[in-house]
Amino acid sequence: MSQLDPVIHPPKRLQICALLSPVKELDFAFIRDHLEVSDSVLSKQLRYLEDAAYIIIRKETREGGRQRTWVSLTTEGHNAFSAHVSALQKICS
Amino acid sequence: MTNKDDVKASLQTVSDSKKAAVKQVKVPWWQDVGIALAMALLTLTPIVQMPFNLFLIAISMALLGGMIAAYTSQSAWVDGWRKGKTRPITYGFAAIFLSLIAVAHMGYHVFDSFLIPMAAAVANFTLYILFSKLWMYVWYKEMGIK
Repeated sequence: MSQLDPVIHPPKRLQICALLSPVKELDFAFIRDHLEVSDSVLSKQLRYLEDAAYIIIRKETREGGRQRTWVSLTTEGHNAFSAHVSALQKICS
Repeated sequence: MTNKDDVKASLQTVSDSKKAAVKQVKVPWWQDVGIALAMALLTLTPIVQMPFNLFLIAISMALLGGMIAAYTSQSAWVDGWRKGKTRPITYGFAAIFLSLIAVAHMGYHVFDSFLIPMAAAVANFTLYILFSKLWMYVWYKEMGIK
């Protein structure tokens, strides 16, 4: 129980980390649509993870001035997520 | 979260979310062919005289850059050098690719043969296509999709 990470623990943040874990970068819009939340709700959840240095948010301006936001897990984020999932598995076993 | 059912549900959500992200990563056939072509052109550089070989390298790099830009602009992408079961495959391909360039160089400059560099280029083209398919297969398997 002690290894459960309070930053990752809330369901939406756990889902965000799970989405990010297998890939290098993920589009903000994809995460928002998958979680079925608004931009502001997702931004708030991402800020918690960013403050913990678990994710990096990268903004990219495309042709026509449209902005695209990319999200990726940091090494710390990967480690914390793996530890959190291991802790959940331990509880289950 | 002490209830085992809640924990099981969380683990299921983790698994489903991972799979959803993995399924977002797509490599269209033309990206494989484009990168394979760039690999083949790079293999042929030893048989092209200066300064035309620099021109060939520039074309290969532009092609490679274009394919990578297209691949990384989709909503999810994965790094070919990522840690995990796919990494030995990537290193293995890189070693074979560089070896075949060396073979092409030797074939042309030591054995005075056009055939050896051409065969090495065809081999690099084919091997890249096979490498890409194998890499995706192993990655999907590692992510629990196949």
